[in-house]
Amino acid sequence: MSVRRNVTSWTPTAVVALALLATSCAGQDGDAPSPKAGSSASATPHGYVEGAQEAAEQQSRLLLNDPATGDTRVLDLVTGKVHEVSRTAGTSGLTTDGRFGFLHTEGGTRVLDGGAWTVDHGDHVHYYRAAIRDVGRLPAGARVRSDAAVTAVTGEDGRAATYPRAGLEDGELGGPRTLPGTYAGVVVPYAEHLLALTGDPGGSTKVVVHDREGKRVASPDAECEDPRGDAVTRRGVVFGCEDGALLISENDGRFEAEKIPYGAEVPTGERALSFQYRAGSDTLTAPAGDRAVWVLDVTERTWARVETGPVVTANTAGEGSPLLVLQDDGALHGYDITTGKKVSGTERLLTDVPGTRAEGTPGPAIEVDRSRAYVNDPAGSRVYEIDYNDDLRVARTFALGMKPALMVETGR
Amino acid sequence: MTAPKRTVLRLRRLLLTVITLVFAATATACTSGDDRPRVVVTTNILGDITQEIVGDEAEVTVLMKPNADPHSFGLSAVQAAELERADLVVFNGLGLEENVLRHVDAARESGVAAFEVGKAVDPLTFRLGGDGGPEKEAGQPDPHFWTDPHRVREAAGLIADQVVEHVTGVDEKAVRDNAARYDGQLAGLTTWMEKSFDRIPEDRRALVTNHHVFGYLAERFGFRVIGAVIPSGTTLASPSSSDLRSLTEAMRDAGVRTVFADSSQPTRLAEVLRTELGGQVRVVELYSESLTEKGKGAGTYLQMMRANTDAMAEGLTGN
Repeated sequence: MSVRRNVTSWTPTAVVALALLATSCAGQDGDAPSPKAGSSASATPHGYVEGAQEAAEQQSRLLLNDPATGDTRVLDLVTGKVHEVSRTAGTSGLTTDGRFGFLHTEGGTRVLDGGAWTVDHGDHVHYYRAAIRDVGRLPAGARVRSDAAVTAVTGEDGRAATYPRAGLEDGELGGPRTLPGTYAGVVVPYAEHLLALTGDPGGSTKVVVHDREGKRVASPDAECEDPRGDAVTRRGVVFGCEDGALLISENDGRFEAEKIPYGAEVPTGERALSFQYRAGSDTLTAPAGDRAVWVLDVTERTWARVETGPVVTANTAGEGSPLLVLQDDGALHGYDITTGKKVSGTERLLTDVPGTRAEGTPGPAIEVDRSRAYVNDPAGSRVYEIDYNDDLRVARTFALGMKPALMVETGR
Repeated sequence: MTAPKRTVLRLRRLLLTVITLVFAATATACTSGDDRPRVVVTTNILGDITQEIVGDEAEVTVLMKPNADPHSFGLSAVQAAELERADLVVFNGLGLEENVLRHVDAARESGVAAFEVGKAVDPLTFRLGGDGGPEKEAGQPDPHFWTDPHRVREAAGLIADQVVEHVTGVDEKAVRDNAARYDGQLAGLTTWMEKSFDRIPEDRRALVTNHHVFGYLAERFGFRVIGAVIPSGTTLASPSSSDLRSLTEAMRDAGVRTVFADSSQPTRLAEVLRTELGGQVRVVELYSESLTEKGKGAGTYLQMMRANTDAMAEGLTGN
């Protein structure tokens, strides 16, 4: 047998083999398509997204929508520029997980990547900015909560599913992983697990904990009557219950539940129904009926009721900064949380003053970050930037040319 | 094709390899083309230093790209496999390359020699948050030893020893010659830095900064590091005195008019500080944890150190 003939007969397979080898080696050059879209196989920095830039500072943005016209804009709070994105009309609510905006309509839930986010590495953080883009649609009525790894979506029917967050980050929802059973409140990702309540949504519910794969794990024996509202804090996840807050925390892989009762009889219609707070803060606020505000200090495990008079909405950055209350005079008022006394106030900000509004629904809202608060004035087509540590000074006013009835802040 | 026969023969050899491995790790197949000894280095700063020492004696692969963050860069599967096939792995350690350490550990367990440079050059510990160190890490070893060129001299000598000991096939004399030449350059750098800093009056040798990497430089050359919070983009648009307080207090304490910080709006930052403090204020950027692309200011360790030294000396001697 001659070498040459031998070689010839091998060639077609060899070509295939070469192709395989070429593919496997190409990744080293960094120019070959990689298994994960948007990241190259070569030493791309962690958190890299096509077109994303690392920034020296937090990249805060406001997502804004007018349900009447469908106008949808992203206000970049660093540059002051407004970006117009495609319209969504008939929006009943706008929520966020800090990066993605969820525009809720009867026909479905539009997922919009606001293009600004933070990656926390414990001792330091990274800030990114990227293009704003649409990611896809979730079913109507989707209530969405995320952590760094998963996005949990709870439907109106109580069924829940998770989506890998990496998919959303790459611009695609990907396939959901369904959780077994139905849930009474929202499913909340926390401490590499999923926290939920099972039972009768208007009645008695129990805490259940699943791992991210949907497998049930040891759950604390705790009940929550008529669950309304939830919050993720550094101390744990808070669910609002009829008799107070239920705090679920994790310690060495074990979940514990603790009730923070109101302490006194709360009149009907005055319990907390949803929580407004600065992302990452341990101080939560909620309207107490329409004439007072609840402040829940999760670290101290205490509720405080601040008598304010008619409330549109409230929020606070916590950590000693004032309770911010938008009131029926159309002005923002600051209250000392410890004494309950009014300490500061603005001129009238709102062109029209609505009644008390529920979280995520159209109307004036207060968004709070580490340094500033933002108040939308839908009828006045404006957003105010408030320096809450400087006597509620109006730092900037953004004229938008649209009515921002819905507003959420992203970039965290 | 110019040499069809040779190509075909090579294909056959490759094919045999593939069959033997039953398509196991595809990355492994890449090695068949390259039998040179290989040194894999994690950070680009250490990569440059190692390359100076190794020269042409072995292939030096650097895992961290220019302008990246050593705390957060990750490895691809191909790179992780590369690490495990190295003759020597050089890494900074002391907790710097958070996302790479497990790969280094895995390589070490599979028998690869791995040299943790930071640990070998008498590391300092982070001081209190107020002194420029991150609060949470006070008392922890500070991994940023490269800001002290004297420690880098030590490191370079130790890397040369490691290369000679673990990388078979290198010419010891060539490596020692490279190391001696580079040692001379590092000694020159240290002397030059001393001279440059001598221009700065003693009481103005203060770095007001949001960087937490200059502790070693400060210790070597008698600087104080005063940590400060740099106002973010949104506060900078319309700042109040309280937004700037951390920074203005640090500057008053230090008695300097120069801030060494990364800011997306350095001009705006200088402007608001000027309004707050009166007089001239400068905002100067420094290279901290990564080299840049070649020719972009800090393509090598020596360039990075010279650029920073010039920036500090000019920033603190001007009015």
